[in-house]
Amino acid sequence: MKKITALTPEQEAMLPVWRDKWIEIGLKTGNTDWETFDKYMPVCYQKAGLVYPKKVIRVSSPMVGAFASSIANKILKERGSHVVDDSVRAVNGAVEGVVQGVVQGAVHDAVADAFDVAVRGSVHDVVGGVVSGAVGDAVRGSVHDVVDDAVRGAVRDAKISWHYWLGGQFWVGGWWGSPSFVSFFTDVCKLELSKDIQERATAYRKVCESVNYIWANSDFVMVCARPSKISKNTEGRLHSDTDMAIKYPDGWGLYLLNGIRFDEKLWKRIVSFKDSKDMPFDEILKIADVDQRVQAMKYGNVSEFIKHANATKVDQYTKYRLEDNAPINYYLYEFPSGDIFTETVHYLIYDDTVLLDKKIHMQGVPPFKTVPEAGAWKRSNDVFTITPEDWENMIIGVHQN
Amino acid sequence: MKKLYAHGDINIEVYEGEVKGEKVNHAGKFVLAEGETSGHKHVITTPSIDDMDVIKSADGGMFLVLRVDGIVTHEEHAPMAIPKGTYRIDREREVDHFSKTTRKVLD
Repeated sequence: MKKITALTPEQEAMLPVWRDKWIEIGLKTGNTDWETFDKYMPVCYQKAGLVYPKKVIRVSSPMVGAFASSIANKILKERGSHVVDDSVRAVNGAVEGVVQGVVQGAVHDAVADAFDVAVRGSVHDVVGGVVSGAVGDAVRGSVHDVVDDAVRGAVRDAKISWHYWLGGQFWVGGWWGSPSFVSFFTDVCKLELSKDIQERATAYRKVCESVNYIWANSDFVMVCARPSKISKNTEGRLHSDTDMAIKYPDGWGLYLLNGIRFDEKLWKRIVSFKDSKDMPFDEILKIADVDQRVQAMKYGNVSEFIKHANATKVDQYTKYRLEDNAPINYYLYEFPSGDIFTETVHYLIYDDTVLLDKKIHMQGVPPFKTVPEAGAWKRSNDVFTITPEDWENMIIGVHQN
Repeated sequence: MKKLYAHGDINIEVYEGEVKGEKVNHAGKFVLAEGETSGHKHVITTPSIDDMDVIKSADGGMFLVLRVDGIVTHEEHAPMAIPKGTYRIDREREVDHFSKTTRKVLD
């Protein structure tokens, strides 16, 4: 096998093209390519030394697949089938390891480290971040929250593990032998792999290109359809204030604003204010999850709220990031008792320009007189205390980010 | 100055006591906290597995022993270097004026 020791200028120019091509594949919606999956998934099993199951079940959302695969696993286990948790793990592990892992190893051996790293950074990491990080993680998190509790509660089997899955299209930028990474060398750099390794690479790539999640078991394979819709903001985060941000053919999906998940009820309440930007602030401040609260604040007006509540500014403080002098402004406000609060309360408000998107944070604090006192209290706890001077001396970019 | 490194709502507090507890497996990379609704993670990374111990104490506290400098990353915050040392991991706190309670910031 000829080792690749340098990328030509033409190959380097192809890096962003390849990145965009695989992001598009990873985020593809609409018709699922069942035919390609049915052709290449058996090859993955064969390459892993496993017999391909006769039962291939198509599901229309990861939620259904996670429930169904867990329950099927449980039933088969009770019937004395050899499908137990460990074998489920083993089958997924074999497909991942023997198919993707072997390909990854072969490519790594054939490519000089410097170029391996360059392609990993320019293609693989970006594709992984955009597809798996921004979209796949949201689905995984939601399925985890719902299925883990529900399935374990329903069948009382702590060993049931819905999450031994392969990510299909969401894993085109995955770590082991990711198709976006491997195909750059095989397709663009014309790297020649041995027949067996190339067959493994092709089979895994075709599977990833064709479907969404896959539950590979010894007695059955369950495979999920592509999403029917994926909606993102300009920064690539799942976002929609008109409908679910990601939706599957059976109607299951997730409500997100700028990458933050909401249940349907809260999402509907927040987006109902999208034109007026006049969401009641007492409702916003009651949202316990700080990420959700920050998103909801975009649908309210802090200045109007401060005016409406007759709040007074107690103190103001500005910190500057070491690197570029970017400011973060902190304000301490006192809100009197009235129609919103039953007693006088204090909030620390700060605009965080150091974050990727400008956000306003508003968090309750005890009745302090200065911003550093409030900041120090927020960072202290029962066993660790910092003083207001300590807080002032925390440099953005060195002690806080 | 008392040493504290703050990454988003996560406190990485210099700890001078003796750390007792169970070692947690990691691969030179460990998720300090994961956002419930964002899936975003504060991750500490060291050059090799042996450069870091993650220890969970009996009362649920989490500690880091860094033998070399580590890097903490997050999708929405700039990476930050954490010098070698021993640290306790916690979250910042806030007052919920509606329930009149103090709580760790939830994300």
